[in-house]
Amino acid sequence: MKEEEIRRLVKIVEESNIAEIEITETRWGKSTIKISKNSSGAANSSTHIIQAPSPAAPLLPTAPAPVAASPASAEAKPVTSSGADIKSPMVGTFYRSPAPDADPYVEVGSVVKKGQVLCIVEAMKLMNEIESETTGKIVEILVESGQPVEYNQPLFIVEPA
Amino acid sequence: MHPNRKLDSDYLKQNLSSKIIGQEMLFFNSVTSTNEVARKFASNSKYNGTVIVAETQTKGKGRQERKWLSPAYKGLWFSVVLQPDSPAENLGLLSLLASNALRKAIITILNVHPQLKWPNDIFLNDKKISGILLESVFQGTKLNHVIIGIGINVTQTSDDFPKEINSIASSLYSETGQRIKRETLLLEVLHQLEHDYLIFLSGDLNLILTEWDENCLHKDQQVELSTPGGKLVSGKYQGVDTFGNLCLLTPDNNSSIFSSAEVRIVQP
Repeated sequence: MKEEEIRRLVKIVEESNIAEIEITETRWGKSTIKISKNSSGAANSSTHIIQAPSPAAPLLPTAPAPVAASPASAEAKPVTSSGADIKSPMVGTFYRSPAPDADPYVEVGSVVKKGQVLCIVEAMKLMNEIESETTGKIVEILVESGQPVEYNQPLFIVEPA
Repeated sequence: MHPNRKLDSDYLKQNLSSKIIGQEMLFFNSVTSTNEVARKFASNSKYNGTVIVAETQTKGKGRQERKWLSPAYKGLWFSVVLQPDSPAENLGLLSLLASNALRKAIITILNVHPQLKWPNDIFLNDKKISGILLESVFQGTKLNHVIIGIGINVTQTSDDFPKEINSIASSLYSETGQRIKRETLLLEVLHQLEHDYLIFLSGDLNLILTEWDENCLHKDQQVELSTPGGKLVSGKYQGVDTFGNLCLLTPDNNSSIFSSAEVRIVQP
């Protein structure tokens, strides 16, 4: 990731009410950047280059990284409950049901089995069904249906059985 | 053209040029949807590349379970099972890849030039002739499989489409007047899909993105996006980013990125 891009991301975090963002690029070599805001509101950037990245030349040099720029950029709720969280594998839109008029896959209190579908994350008309990795009870649903989600954003808290 | 003629499965198997996609092809007369059938096989690694083909679908579906009409013998309704070992964030590109592969197959067989609407609709003479829906399953953040569901309207005439969509949907025959063997088109689609899928696996994603971008219906146009949250956002379409997200320049001169939305071109 280029320095100017990191600066731009720091600025985005500073100007927003996002507490922390983490971006991982894995196209050609892995690079991870994590930017978190300290208590005074200014953003710190801690960049961990895991492998020397050869950043992809985006088709649009002006385009911001998708992770930070969704217009309704999700503000990850603080995780308050104990239990394992189910995270989003990608940037996309979170849906609690297979269709707008269908029942949600799960509610708070639902007992779920390992492999049971919990939600869909859509990106580019690819509907990704996210299955529970554990058997347990849904204790919290952290995102509203139809809202954008970020890579690795917690979606559910599952209390293992 | 032979009305009500079933696909010749022997011909398809004998003339297949791809090495992964279509090595296993399963043919059905009628299914709920080929994606539904594909799901039953998709988790097993020996079905990587398997193609499920049906003459008709009783519950063909699009995004958010919208109906997709699949009249018997008049189109190609099929799904491809893939198990790529790719980072999750790149998978959305398969959507663009599939539409571009289909576009190229149509050029080869019919010598006409369809255009692409983000993320994966295919238009000929401003009418939609194909729909693509991808479904995947993740165990937590680990990908299990992806299914690419493809519907191509081949021989329908305008009477075959309900009034509500008659002016926006069409078939290859209606738009070109050419009668083609469905088998020829299917073989070419599978060939192109595999060609581009191997490029995807090699990591050369810019090649796919560049081709997609060059053939986009709304390149440099004013568009209106309808987002899943129910908002309408207008702006100038700027292109797609490295993950296939749509980039929009809004009137306040901000660039915004969208990973899901319906695109409508605003006529100047």
